[in-house]
Amino acid sequence: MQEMVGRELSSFYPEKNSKTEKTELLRVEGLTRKFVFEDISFSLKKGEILGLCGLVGSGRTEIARGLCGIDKTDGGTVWLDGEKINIKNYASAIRNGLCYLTENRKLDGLFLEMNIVDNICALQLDHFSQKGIMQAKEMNRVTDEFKKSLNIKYNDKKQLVNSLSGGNQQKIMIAKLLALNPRIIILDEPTRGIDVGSKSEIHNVLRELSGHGIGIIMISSEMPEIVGVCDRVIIIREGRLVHDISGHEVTQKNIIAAISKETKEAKEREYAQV
Amino acid sequence: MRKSNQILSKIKSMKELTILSIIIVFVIVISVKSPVFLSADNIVTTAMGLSTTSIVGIGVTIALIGGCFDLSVGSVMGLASVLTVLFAQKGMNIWLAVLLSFLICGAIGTLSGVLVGKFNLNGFITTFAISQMARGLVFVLTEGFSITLPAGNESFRVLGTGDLFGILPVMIVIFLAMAVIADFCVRKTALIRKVFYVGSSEKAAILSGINSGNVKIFLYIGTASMSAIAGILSVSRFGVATANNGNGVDMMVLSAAVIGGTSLGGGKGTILGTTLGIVMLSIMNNALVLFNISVNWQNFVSGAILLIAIIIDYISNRQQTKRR
Repeated sequence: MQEMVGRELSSFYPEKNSKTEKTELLRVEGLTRKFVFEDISFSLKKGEILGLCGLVGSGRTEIARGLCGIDKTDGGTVWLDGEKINIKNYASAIRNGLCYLTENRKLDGLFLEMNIVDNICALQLDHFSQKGIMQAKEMNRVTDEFKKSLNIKYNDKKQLVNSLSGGNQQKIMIAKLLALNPRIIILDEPTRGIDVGSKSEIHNVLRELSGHGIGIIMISSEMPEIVGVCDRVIIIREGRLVHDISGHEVTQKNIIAAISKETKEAKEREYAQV
Repeated sequence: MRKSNQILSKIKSMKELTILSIIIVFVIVISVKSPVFLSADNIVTTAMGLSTTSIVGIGVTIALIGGCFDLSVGSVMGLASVLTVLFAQKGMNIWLAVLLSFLICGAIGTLSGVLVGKFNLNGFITTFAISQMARGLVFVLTEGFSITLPAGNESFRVLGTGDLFGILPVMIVIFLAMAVIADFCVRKTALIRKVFYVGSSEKAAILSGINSGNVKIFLYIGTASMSAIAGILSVSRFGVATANNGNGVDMMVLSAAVIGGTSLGGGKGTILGTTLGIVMLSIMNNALVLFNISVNWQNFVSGAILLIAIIIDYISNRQQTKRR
């Protein structure tokens, strides 16, 4: 492992948050979208990284998108920092500090033929403009800051984003969301398809952000990542929230058992009917 | 692979320089063969015709950057000129006629915008349909004849026929002013930057909180407005509105934009590039006339140049993106 990355990975994953804080950052109740997911209720506490797990197709991405107003939902209430908020569309979610990192960076996460500065500043255009005119100096400054804080590797911030490696592209997407100063970030498969070193750096960043009070929800299909990074995990099966595992119970065995429980039961039922 | 990408992007950025050099070569070759080419009259005439087309070019370029095609620009230009003359003929104050005509074209643009932006209809075909309707209206209103602007509107005619300081036509000044402002907006304003985002990847733009539907509506109102201005200026210049005014402008501007480096896929484009493209095509048309080559060849030559430009655009895009 060390040889592959060329630097020391003393602990594979960042240290988890052992203290359980009482402050509730986000509370979701009864989130529903007909035929897709039903009655999803959970809460996210300050300093905790929440994992959203389930088989592919179980509705995790849809839940995240529904929560952020990207897709329409048929019911549910959301409280942010104890205050009830109404999320009509993605723009209003962003205004409330709630944002979503897509799992498909090439399809809808990045502007591949635009440069790094443009990609990082995409969500905050109005913030970077005075009387409608963009302030290049400020945009460049913010880009440079992210280059340092997220350790993004590139030569020229004016180069096109499609010339960067997957890991760096992913960091740029994260920078784009961080430029918002968000309160809650939902990341959908944030380390899929990127090199080990970048994976680890992103995990560290997430833990750091969580420590600063930013709510992190992570959708992932990689067991080691979930077990290594998340303080709590909620399991989605066929659009329903079936389990809430936390602390020491967050193990690969428990998660897999929770995800596939019904599959095993369904198979047993099938055999019984034959 | 990376190095060839870099070389290709260098070539693309030199595109404007390339066109400029092609134009210079053209001018030298043509003026050698036909000295009339460089006469003041010819230059001014060509430049004046260029100006109206280039104004349309401003609107179309920005729309293309946002990934929106507008095939109705020629017909809207024609409609604007016809409406202006008709209103004036009915006794309306010329400036009021101009305003009303402009607003009507703006409404047409809004219609196109809503159909494409809100209902997600295909821009190409939809604006083609609108184009047919507008041109149809033009023929209905004029019955195929040219209609003349009533006399006594000298202040209005200054726009199209006047000269500043005796040599610089007002119309060219108007176009240059618009082009400079438009170029500034394209490079520096947040509003047009949003257009770039929508053109580069509409899905990513939506996930960046940009209302892509509204952006598209804005783009089509823009193209209609530019076309209306072009039509109104042509009335000021010639004093008449013909049923065929604006014919072929849509295709010429589209070709010029592609030649000038505006990508058909959206996300790229410059005002200067399109304008240079229009200059190049206009000079070519002018040359055909001067060389007594049948006007029928115009279409063939324009089409051939457009085809070459499309192919170059395709090749350079294919090298830059891995998957679209």
